Amino acid sequence: MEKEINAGYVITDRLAVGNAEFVIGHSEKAHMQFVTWKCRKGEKEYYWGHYLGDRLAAVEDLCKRALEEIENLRSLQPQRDTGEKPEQQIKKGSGPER
Amino acid sequence: MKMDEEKRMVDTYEVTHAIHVGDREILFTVDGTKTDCPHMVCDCTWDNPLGIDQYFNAVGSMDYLEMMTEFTDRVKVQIEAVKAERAQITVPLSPFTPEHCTPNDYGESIENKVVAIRAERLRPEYRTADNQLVLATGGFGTYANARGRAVYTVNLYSGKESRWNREDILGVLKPEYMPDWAKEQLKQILAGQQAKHKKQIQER
Repeated sequence: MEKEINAGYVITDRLAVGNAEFVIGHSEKAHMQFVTWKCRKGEKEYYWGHYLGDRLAAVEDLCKRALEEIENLRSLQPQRDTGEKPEQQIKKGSGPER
Repeated sequence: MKMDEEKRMVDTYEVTHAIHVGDREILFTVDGTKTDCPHMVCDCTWDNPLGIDQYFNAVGSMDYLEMMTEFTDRVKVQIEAVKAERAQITVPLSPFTPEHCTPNDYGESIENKVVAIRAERLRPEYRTADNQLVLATGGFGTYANARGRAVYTVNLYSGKESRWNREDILGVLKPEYMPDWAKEQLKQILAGQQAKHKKQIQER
């Protein structure tokens, strides 16, 4: 597979969470050799770049961004569950009555 | 996930995300046919004589977000491990560059010489002097005008034995750039090799 390049940075790693994707870009020539970007899953328009000096910091930032997205999705989940499975919610609540 | 990889499988699970940090890779895998446990996270290392993938620490769940949290948590733990490892290194870390070496001349033998590994052949988090300096101990790639590529080495800082290809070698380190810590380690490694050699002769 061909290397994907964005703004001179080779995309080396990517993490998908929900509809979002986070990537690490690496450029040997750039002053800040690493960057993390966000994009919509399956698309190639990268935005909100965080520029970093070394790979460990970039991987750390990638994880931080992914975890924030996970937290965001988690915060939306209970509302969705309530709407989709009202009976299951009631059953869970009725457990301790025994 | 690295972009140049073909579809990668761990048993029936497809690897959808893989992040390599330090001495291992953390994998996020998916098997849509396993309804009770479609998501699995595990670690992978190659620290064995054949250099083959070894998977361990596998955990699975139905909950994608739970497993993605497990994945990112493991990567973060691994980052901290590499940072701690780096903090323990007491020697200067500045990498060796071509000016510190006589260029890699395929017409010359590098057997039993201290050579520097090209920084770009090391993972970004390991591009430091302690990872570059090795003693070339053997392999067809060490010989002059050799057809083979294999160069077996002992790392001067850690004492760890590895295999490289001749093209991974930047060159023989110029004596004036040999750090004191490397001189000391080299003496110990050579003494260890001589003792081993003597023992082998006595056993025959």
